Amino acid sequence: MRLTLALLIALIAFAAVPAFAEDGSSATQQFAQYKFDDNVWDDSGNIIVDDDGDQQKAGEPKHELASDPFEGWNRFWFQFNDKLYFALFKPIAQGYGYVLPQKLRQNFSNFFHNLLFPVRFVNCLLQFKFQAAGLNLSKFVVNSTFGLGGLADVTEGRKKTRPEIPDGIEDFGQTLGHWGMGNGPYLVWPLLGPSSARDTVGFVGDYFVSVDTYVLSFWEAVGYYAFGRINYLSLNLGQYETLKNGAIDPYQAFKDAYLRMRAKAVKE
Amino acid sequence: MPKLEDYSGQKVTYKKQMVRGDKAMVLTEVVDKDKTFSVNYRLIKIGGQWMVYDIIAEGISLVKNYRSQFAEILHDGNVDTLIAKLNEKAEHLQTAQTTETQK
Repeated sequence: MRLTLALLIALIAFAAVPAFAEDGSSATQQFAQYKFDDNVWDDSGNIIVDDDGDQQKAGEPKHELASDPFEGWNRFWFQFNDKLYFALFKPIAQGYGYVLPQKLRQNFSNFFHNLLFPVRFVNCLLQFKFQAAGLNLSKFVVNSTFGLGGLADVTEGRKKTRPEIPDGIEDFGQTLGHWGMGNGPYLVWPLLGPSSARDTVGFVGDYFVSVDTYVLSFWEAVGYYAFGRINYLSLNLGQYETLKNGAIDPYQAFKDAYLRMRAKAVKE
Repeated sequence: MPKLEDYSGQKVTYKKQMVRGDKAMVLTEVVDKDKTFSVNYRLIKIGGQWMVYDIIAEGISLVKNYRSQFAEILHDGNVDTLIAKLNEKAEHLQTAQTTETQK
């Protein structure tokens, strides 16, 4: 879910690109003398090379990028998901969003988020992030009671008394990564979208900690996930399109974005 | 820039700026309700003026994202295929933009 949100931010950048290209070919010569290598800071702003020019750390960690031995398979499902989105999910989400007010849909979204609390809590604990686990626990208690079962996000926008505590959005894929497991091959699943071997294992692990696994029958669970998905889409329409439109090779763009986003999530 | 309008209401906090020689990096955070997204900028000084040349949103570098796409195309084809694809994309975006402004 965070993938699309994060990618939307990248679009600000995309919107700014034409401003650079105005000069056309002369710009190429003009910029040729400058070195654009990212050799001082990494993408998070940590110093790679110190003042004397000594290498501090070996550039990018290798586990960031995954191999893609199943590219044919992956590209097939990427196309499949793409078609399915435009033919089915998007129209449904649009109609659904037209009928229900945004406020109510946001309430549903809060409800789903609140119900996923066990996943975040357990994975915070597994990574020894006790403060983040506590933060999630207190949010869950307050929102489940005063927030009417999680429909309202009472804690939203509250200042944390200790702002250094991270929000603790953790899943089992991140837990495995935290303890040193690499991505394994990159994978795209039908309906679920971009993943990796590690994150697939993580997804299955999280399935066993989710409340709905034990409460709902199979078809109820399908309905629950479909509803959650449509509800989410109705609140985030247009994100997928805009990123896809900016890409030369959408498959590769989403793969790179997914892997880098996950690498960052694991690191935090 | 149709998507920028969606960004009303989010706060941007400047966390840090780092300068060395003609290179700089600015770390910011976009705060949307409870969620924070990191947005970092890479800058270079050209003719006495700072210019942004890369934006890293949530760990996703725009430059590196395109670099990986280019690498993929170059792997399957050659420079001409890449340039052809870029021109095609630029044309496509241009027509999309003109229809958008006409609306």
